[in-house]
Amino acid sequence: MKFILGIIGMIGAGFLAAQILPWWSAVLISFVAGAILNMNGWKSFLCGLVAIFLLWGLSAGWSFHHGSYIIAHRMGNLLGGVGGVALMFITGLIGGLLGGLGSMTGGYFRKIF
Amino acid sequence: MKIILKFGLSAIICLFFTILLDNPIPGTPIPPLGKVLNPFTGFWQNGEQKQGKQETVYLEHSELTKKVKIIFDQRRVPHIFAETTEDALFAQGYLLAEHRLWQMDISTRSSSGRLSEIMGTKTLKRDQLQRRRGMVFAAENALDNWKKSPEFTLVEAYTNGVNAFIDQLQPADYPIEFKLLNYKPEPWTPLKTALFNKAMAEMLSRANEDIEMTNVKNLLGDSITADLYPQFYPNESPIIPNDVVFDFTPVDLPKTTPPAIGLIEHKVYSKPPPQLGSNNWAVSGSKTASGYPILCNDPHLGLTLPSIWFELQINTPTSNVYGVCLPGVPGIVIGFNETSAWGVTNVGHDVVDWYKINWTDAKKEKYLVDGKEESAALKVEAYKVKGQETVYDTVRYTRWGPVVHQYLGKLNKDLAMRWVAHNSAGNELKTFLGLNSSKDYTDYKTSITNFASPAQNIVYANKKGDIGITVQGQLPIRTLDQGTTVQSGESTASDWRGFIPMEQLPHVKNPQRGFVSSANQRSTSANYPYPYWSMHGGFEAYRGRTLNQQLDTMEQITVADMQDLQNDVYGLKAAEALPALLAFLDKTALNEPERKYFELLTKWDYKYEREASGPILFNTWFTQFYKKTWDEIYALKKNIEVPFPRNRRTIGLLNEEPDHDFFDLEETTDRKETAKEIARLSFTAMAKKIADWEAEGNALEWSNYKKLSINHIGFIPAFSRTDLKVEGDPKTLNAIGETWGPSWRMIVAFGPGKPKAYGIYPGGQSGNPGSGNYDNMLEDWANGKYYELELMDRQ
Repeated sequence: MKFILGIIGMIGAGFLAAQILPWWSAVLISFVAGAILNMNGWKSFLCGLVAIFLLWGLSAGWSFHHGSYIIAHRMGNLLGGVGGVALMFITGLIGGLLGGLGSMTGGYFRKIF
Repeated sequence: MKIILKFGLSAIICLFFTILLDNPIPGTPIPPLGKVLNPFTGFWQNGEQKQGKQETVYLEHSELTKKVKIIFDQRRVPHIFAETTEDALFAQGYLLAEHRLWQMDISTRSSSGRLSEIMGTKTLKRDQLQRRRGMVFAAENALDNWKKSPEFTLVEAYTNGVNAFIDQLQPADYPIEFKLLNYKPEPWTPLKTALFNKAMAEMLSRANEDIEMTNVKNLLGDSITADLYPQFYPNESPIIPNDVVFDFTPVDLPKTTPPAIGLIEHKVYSKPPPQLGSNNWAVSGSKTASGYPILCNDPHLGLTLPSIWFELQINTPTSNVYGVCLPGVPGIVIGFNETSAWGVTNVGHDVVDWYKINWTDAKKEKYLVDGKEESAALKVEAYKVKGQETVYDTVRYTRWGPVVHQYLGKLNKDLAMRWVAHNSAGNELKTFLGLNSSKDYTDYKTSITNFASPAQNIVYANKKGDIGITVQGQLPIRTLDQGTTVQSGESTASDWRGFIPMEQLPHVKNPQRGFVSSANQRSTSANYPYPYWSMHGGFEAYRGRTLNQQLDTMEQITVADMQDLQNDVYGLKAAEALPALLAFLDKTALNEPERKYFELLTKWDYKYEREASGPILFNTWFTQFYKKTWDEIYALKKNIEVPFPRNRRTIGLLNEEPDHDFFDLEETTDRKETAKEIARLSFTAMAKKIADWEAEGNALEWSNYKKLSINHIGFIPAFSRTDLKVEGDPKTLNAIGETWGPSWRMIVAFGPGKPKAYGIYPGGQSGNPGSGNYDNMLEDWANGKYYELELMDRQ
């Protein structure tokens, strides 16, 4: 339950933070969320990973369907011939990796005290 | 303890990835991936849906006297409706920034030698060269001139418009190139407009062959040089018709010959491609079906994405004008209003001279002129190279101009450059703003007197029925041949004798033949009293004659005829060279596939059409023929800079002097070859080359062979187009080259009401590779189609 709520919370907070903060706000939010959620290492990592993967991947997908398919196609070519859907996945994965690392670090941070 | 370790390790990994993804990977083209890929501020935010419908928006800003109405048509061409010219130009600046911000930034960075600030050391040499050439110096001088005129407020309004757009930008909105190169847009300034203007001047007027000509004169002597590199050719069809009389008293010229200079060892820096050029013409009502004039223009420039042109209409209570503008320059450069139309081609006179400086001190601060020492002005240039410490370099300004070619440790080898664009006395913006609101021929003549550099053949037509063309610009007066070679900087006798007075510039109004035209050929007949010569060692040789021959015979001209003429692919060069080349071949001695190629060439009608095989065979054959003919020049070129003779001279020799000494091959000492042997040897070489190419599975069709690359200005392949099938050739009126060609085709037909106009450029209105309007006009352009240009009424 905490895991699911954590994901939903991180997606919401991450989305809001991204409107005002630079791209690394995802790391910041997942760190704070990880500290609040206080889960063990791998679970914390997985929670952040899934949350930010979904946040970034779905946001990219939303953009893709609202006019970004041309730029996605060209950027995919630029990055070595990657398709639009694959690019959404890569975007999600990079976000997810950072989210996971942030969340896990936050979790460990909480456990120090 | 263990948990602290886990936290530490986890934090380090997390920070490492965050920092890694926040920065470009040094030494690679990999951009900061976190910044670029994230869906909130990265490239995902650069999408724009293709807008195929008309849209009206209103621009409101505290700097505007009233809100400005902008109607975007289906091709995203803005039609600006403003209450004052200032408001209109503010809106123009705003719209250009909205559609072309990165293009504006990178072009002016390139012009002012500031690329290294964003690209690092790899562009430092190029930057230093731009500063040594005095690009910023030239722009600052132009700006000083502009500031003196009341129109400067319009430049400021334009600047404010650009900055109003930049000010409201959030990082998520930055054009994709800023994100990829990891930097921010900076404010626009009037100096940047001047820098853009000088970038045009550099593209269109910086070329010269002075170093090469100096060397070839030294090595081959005056008479061979005159034979191989003539300035005049028989059968010229100049811009100003041969029957125009120049009835004025020219400025008196001393008949002195400048002292000769020895060999110049400097390597020549890269020059703008000689194929850049343009066509323009206007036919009078006596030759059209409607009885009203038609004006046409197609400037052949580098073809890039985004395009160098942006299309728009500017409507104010005092003027209503439509056309194309340059991103960074206020007003419309080529266009029409309700009563007048105008267009430009490049004049191409040599307006650059080189002076050899004799320094008197090891620090190179003083140099000799007429036996006395003069001090050079030293300017320290700073280059804030990305990721490096600032690099400093001193540029020395002599009385002639900045020292461009430096020779370390030698006191009498440096070369200073004098270039009209460095301190031209014109106000080019005034010209275009004047033309934008011109109503009659007097307005046209008054507006263009402000135009100094780069000199343009400005063609004009109006509803009343007047047509005219002027070779307009600041053109130096020199004694015969002075400045075709490097001159001594030690004597004031090497100086220019002023500039041709504006009223004595070649010009013709309503000529007998019923049309005016230009295609970068020689401006006048030999009767023009001032000596001048081409910056490329020869003026355009084929398009001008093709155009005049065609226009001479045309009657009852319609818009469709003019479209056909702009898309004409008849190759006069081939027509003049091929019969003589074919006559040298002995058909019985040919093998296969030589015989097949011979037959195809015999049947060819000299048209560079998509399906034609002739263009492939002829162009390849002629290239081989040229290389073998001028083997002596290629041999010299290995050691020192020398010029290549022109195709036109080569073809002249082929037709009239097939026994000329230069046809003899250097590599054979036992016999003397003539044009006949060269033709045969080069035909065999061509046949082998093309047979190999065919064997690779290529169909023998011109559009398969011809390569056209329309590159992104930042040379990002994913943002470029190289897949277009086109026809034409640089020597045909439809002058499509490898990376350049007709950058805007415009036809304006006058009539009893508003003019009917048609146009197209290879690109799209948006500079955003993520927009449907980035390259949407390319296919239609390649297929020779036009769009109707609507001069909308005020509503």
